[in-house]
Amino acid sequence: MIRRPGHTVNDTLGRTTASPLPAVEGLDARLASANVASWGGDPELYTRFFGTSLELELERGGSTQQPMTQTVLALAALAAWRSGVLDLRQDALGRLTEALESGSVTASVLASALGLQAGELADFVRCQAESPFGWPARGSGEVVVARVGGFRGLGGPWTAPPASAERLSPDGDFLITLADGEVWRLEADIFGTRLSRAEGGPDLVTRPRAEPAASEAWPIRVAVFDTSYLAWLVLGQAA
Amino acid sequence: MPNRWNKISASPTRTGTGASHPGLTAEDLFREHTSQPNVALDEKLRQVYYWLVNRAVISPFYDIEFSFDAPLSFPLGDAGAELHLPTDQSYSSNVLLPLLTFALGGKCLLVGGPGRGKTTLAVLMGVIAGGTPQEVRRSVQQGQPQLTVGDLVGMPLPRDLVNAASLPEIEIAWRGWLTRPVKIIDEYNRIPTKTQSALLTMVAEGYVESYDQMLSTAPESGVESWFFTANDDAGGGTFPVIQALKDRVDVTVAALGFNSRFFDELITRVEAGEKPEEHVPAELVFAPAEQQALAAAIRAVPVPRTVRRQLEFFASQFEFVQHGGRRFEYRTKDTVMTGGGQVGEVIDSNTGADLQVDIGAQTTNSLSARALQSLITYAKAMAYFRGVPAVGLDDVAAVLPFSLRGKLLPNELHPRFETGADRELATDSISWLADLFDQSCRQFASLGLAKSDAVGELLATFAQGLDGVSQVEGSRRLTAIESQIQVISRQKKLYGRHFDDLVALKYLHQRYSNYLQWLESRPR
Repeated sequence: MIRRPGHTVNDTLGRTTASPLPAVEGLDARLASANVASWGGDPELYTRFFGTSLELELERGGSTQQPMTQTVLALAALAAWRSGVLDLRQDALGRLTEALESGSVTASVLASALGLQAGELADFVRCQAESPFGWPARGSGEVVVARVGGFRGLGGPWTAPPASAERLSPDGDFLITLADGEVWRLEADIFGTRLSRAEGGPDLVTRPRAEPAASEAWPIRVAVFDTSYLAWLVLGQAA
Repeated sequence: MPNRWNKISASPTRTGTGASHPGLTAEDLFREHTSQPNVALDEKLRQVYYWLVNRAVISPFYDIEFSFDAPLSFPLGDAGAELHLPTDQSYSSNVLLPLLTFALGGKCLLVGGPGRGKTTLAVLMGVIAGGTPQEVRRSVQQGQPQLTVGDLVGMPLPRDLVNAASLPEIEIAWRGWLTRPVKIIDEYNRIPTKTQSALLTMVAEGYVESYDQMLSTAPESGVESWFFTANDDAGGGTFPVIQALKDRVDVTVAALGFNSRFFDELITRVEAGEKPEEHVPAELVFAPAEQQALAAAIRAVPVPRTVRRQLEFFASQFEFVQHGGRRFEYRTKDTVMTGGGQVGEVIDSNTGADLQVDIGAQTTNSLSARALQSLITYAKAMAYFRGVPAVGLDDVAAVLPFSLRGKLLPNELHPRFETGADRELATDSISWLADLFDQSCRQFASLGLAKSDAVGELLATFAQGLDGVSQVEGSRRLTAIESQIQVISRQKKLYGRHFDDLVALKYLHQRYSNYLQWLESRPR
């Protein structure tokens, strides 16, 4: 069996038939989907989570009433982040907190945009405040969060297996050195990863983060094996 | 407009670099993300390149190779030929270098037999700079043996010639092409010598003069690029090109032949009667402000210290020739050439150094500061085009052969060109120059110069200034300089790299000696 890159949170999702997104006046769903793809997200996942949450919201408000633009934006941001757009995390979390505090959107609608149950949402927000890898159903022991990289011949980015990894910050910033000496930067959170070639070496890739560093309650590391072209993001036991 | 011309490569055209979008918000999801003029000019430049190679010019040659790791190589035939399959984006020199010339405002010579698309490529650059195809084609100056200065720059008005009491009263009807951002001179080696001199003033100084009247050739953007075409750059043509004009050319690119596997495209064009310059998509045209920003952004790309040092080492190899003169400073190829001697013979008579190791022995001349400036500018342009934050050694290696072609001349008496596998390098100057730089980099590494640079440290200490340097400290530095000279003196073989070091050490010695003398003569 050939293992492919991917996120554990998506492994149990199963397949669904893509249904067209409900129309929202003034917002181009096709454009949003294309943007998600260009920012490294999975447009199918985005359509799935955004569509589900939007339908729930429409049911709640009655079929004739258009949802508030701010509600749609919050759901779109959450769904896009959930589909793997790393750079939307801060905006999505901000909108989620605001919606929960104001009560403008129900917890079940918000939770559906993230693929969660309504009861898990408060826990999720608390966990995410601690770490970008915070997840309510964490389980015990070491947990694989994501598999990244892969052999170029099978659609991955690398021509040599990863040889070592160095953590730049507890927020999911890593440098991965391949067996042929190439250095790649890995940025990740619970829903998405971004791999980019670290041109200019480590000096150019460290940058200060605006958010506070994640707590060691969610110790994340990258594991590499001689026998695999994949690098494994592993969440360890809390310190 | 036929659809086949409209396809522009989708962004990003380079992957694996700078893919993050900090500060994204939900509103951005529903916005069209068109390129922002200031940040995406390099992306636009790459889109132009891909449009040119994929749509406009039939040029399937990827001779400027970049690889992340060793490229896949296939030996071909029994004469040592190899085909490399590079692993990073690689480029076609005869399209990329003219495009970089346009971007930075340089001077490019396109050489090659008739009908290879040299003029078409230059005209395309003119259209990308904002001209209409008709305007650009009309502004192409055709070199011919009867071309006068008047034909080239314009004529004085006959009325003024009769009525004017003095030269300043004569008004000149300047030719329109003079102020275009892209200037094209076709077959420049057919232009008479006198007219070439007028051309030189334009190319070198950026103005043109006639009857005491002057016109600046700078266009609105201030960025002007020149394209010259010639059937060869080895002295052919009706008139020999004057050396000063030749020296102004920043890069020389050969227009490569037609690949017969692309015959279908050729037939389609014949049947449709289409010319690529008439179908340049509007999105690919650079406005004057964009051209200005592009040239400024290219110049701003930094050259890291490690790359500078390798370039210094390469450039230091070519000036020195052991028996070129008596005094140390005059032991140069220039002394031999200006004295009417044969540099090749002088190099041959040197038994004190190993000709196989001495890179400088492979050339009959040295590098001018102007040639090095062009090389640095084009290396910056290459790094900018590739979207990398600083000039790398691979960027320098990619442009160096095209930048130094015709400027660094091979010494045909060198044993390398006489026999063996390298004989073909005597005529293939691009491969030879690429190999010369490779050799220099290997030598730099084997001598361990990346780790220690005693002369560089002495120069850096001096660059901190002499203010407050005590007599004792000054004397200590003088001693350090003398011992460094002693270190070189002890080596029995002398190479070009030592020449530049020794001249620099003598300079430092003078500066410190003068300073110490001044300190001593000061009233206490």
